[in-house]
Amino acid sequence: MRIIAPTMVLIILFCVVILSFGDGDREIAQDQEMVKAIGYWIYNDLEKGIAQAEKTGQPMLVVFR
Amino acid sequence: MDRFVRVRIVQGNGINLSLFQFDYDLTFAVFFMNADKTIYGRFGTRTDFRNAGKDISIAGFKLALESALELHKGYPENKDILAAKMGPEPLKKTPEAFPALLRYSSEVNFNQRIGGQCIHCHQIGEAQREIHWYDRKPVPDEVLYPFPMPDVLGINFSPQHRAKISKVTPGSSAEKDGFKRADEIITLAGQPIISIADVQWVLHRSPENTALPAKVNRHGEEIKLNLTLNSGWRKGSDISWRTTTGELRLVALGGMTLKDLSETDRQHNGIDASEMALQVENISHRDRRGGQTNAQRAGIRRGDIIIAFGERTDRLSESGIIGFVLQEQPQAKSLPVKLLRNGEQIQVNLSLE
Repeated sequence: MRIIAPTMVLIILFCVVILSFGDGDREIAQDQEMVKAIGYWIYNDLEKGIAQAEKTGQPMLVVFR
Repeated sequence: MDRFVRVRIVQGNGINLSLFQFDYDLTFAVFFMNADKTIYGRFGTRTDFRNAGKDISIAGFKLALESALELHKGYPENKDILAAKMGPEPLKKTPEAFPALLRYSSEVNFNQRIGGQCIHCHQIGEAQREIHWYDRKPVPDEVLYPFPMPDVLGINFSPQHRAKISKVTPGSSAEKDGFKRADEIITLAGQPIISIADVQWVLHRSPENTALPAKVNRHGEEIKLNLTLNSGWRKGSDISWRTTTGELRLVALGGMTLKDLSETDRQHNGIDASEMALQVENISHRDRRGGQTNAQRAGIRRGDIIIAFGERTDRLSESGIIGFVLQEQPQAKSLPVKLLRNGEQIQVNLSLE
């Protein structure tokens, strides 16, 4: 009983977290975090990309994914 | 890739549709462009629902990247030949301006729950079609059959190359035009071609009854050909793989997914090769409002074979039937559908409300 109660609480908490964020949300958050951490891509900011291309004279690669 | 400023866009909210006109059923779409928004080219092709990567490759992408760098090197002297890579002014400048997407905001707040905020690319395609069928107006060809694959003209391309022909269908218009296997299209309608998507873009923007001048590399030699676009050429396009077709199945087919009957099954059922024979492969459980679908209400079952749809009895694909309903019968509130079930003919009335 001493083990079951905290386990149940943890399961309920886990379910609440899952329901409040949703799989899609978690995937997007993880993806955003990873892309920004690596720093290879400008994340979801076309204007920033245009400004950088103007400054550097480089062409742009805009990916919709 | 290091020589590019790399931007990744993850949702459609607020995107500039004057600039970003692409096949909205893609899961991976690329624009190569200049900071002044001149487009060098597109990349991204898809013809399969389950295998979205079937028509693209790393090798093809690399070649497109190299070609885009070449075009950038030649810029702005080449600005004129790139002008047509940008489309005309769209019906709506941003996705959320379409009636079907009014509930969306132009920006996504990533600090809040994201689900429900994002406009998916396919929703843009759906919204472009909905604006026509919702008012029961014919859906224009270029909206119903966007970014046609060149196979509709008899040309197949190798995904490993820029725009190299892997097969020309015998008897096709492309064969009559003189295209041959291993030809590489360098320019089409005056536009430099750096990918299969670029060919699709030119086709997307082209009318019927015209011939597009093409410069072709044939075994190292540059030759000139014309690609003929006959009357109704787009209507042979297969749109069954498209995510956006899911909605059209509900609107035009009462929720049915249809598959052309095999030659063996045609023979077994005594149906000629020129006649309609579309098997009901699946029926959606719910319509757009969550209720029963029109096919369910009409009593249509999985496995039934449709042999007449409205007045049409000729051999049409599922895409052809969708086109028939949305382009030729946009005002119809219902259509008679003739079915073959266990060898017996049954007629039902399919509501299109």
